[in-house]
Amino acid sequence: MNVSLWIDERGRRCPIPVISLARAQTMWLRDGFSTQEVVGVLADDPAAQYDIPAWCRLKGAEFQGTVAPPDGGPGTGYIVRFSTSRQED
Amino acid sequence: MAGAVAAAYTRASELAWADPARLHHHGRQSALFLDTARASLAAGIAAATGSSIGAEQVFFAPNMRLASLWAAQGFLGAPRFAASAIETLALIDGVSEAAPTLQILPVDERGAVIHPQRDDFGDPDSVVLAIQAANVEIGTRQDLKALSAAGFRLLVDASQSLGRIPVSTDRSVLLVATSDWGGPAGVVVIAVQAAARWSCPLPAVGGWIGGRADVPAVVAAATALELTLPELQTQSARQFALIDRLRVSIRAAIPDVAFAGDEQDRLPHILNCSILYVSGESLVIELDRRGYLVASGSACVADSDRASHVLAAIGGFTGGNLRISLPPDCSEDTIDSFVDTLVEVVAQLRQGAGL
Repeated sequence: MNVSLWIDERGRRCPIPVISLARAQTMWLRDGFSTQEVVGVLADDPAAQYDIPAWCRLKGAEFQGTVAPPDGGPGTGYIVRFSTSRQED
Repeated sequence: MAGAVAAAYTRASELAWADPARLHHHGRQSALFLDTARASLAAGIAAATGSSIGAEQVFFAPNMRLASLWAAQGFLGAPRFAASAIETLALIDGVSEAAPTLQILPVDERGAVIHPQRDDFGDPDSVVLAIQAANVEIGTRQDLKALSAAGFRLLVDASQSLGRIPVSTDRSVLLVATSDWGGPAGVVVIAVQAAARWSCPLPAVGGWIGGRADVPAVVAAATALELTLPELQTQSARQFALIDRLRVSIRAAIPDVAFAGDEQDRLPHILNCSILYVSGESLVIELDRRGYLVASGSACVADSDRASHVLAAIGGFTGGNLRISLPPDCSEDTIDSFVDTLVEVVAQLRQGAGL
């Protein structure tokens, strides 16, 4: 798994982690699908375990599962792949 | 409580203050108030469910957790228990105290319980399924008829459902909080249908289980049901259409909203949706400032600081959650003004999110 961007939102509550993920998707769309295809969101807000996978289903992204944070720190790493499949409203 | 219900409560507090278990004349007067209210509630529930329920088949508990515990303990024949993953925590807690091996049934993404098969359970008649007629958070209805036809015994939580949708099978035990129809918070009714094979697990003077009856509260509950029940049915058809209008308007006016539950097979008066990129807490506070009282299943609003287990179980989005329940006098104009307000609130809250 090649994470091209880590977004560290540990210590921040809902809706911040999902907003940051959505911003990353907006940037990826703007940049012409070239970079940052797989992103990891580091979060320790318990709501992220439901809301990041649900957001992916709603926004046409692919939730690839969770990993331990690469810095060995607290929280969970949520791996999301942006794809060019249709965006749902 | 509405004026007439509060008045009934006050009058009963003055005249029926004594313990109805006492033999002196004040006690007998309390017992008379309690018996009358119990018969009235039985008649109302019988009318709402289209089944025959007599006064002696109605019992009272002070809250849903104890009602669930005692209702579970009353089932004869030592059945096993199962409950869906989206039952209320009060019901799960109460039933699992009576039945520690309570099995949890999964639900689909609309919140419909995946019906257990005979192979999973053996004889369905040896199993009691504890299940809401319709989920109180997201509104999705359950197919009680099919579960009953499959042979399962049912402990039906009729909260928000009684009088609005069919909740009856001929051999289930019903639970319903009287606050649902404008009664006091401290009375939950257990209504036992004739073929349910159920016996009250504790002494119950006048139907009040396990202690001294709160007679004024039962009287107020009966008055509230008498006043509300005739309204519910006409109200429900109108509200069903209003919820459609509300959903269509929100969908058209606000991007990035996830709706939970089933659009058709649902309670008439509840809409549940999650508005992405805003917090449930700020939605509730900003709508309250503008005169709208809404609930939310988001973690930041819940008293447990945990997101709604219902939204979690259906794979829903838990942030920015709104549970909208229509007031009885709600009109199309109310809906339209609410949506205008919601649009304004969401725009304000999303400002600065940089999306």
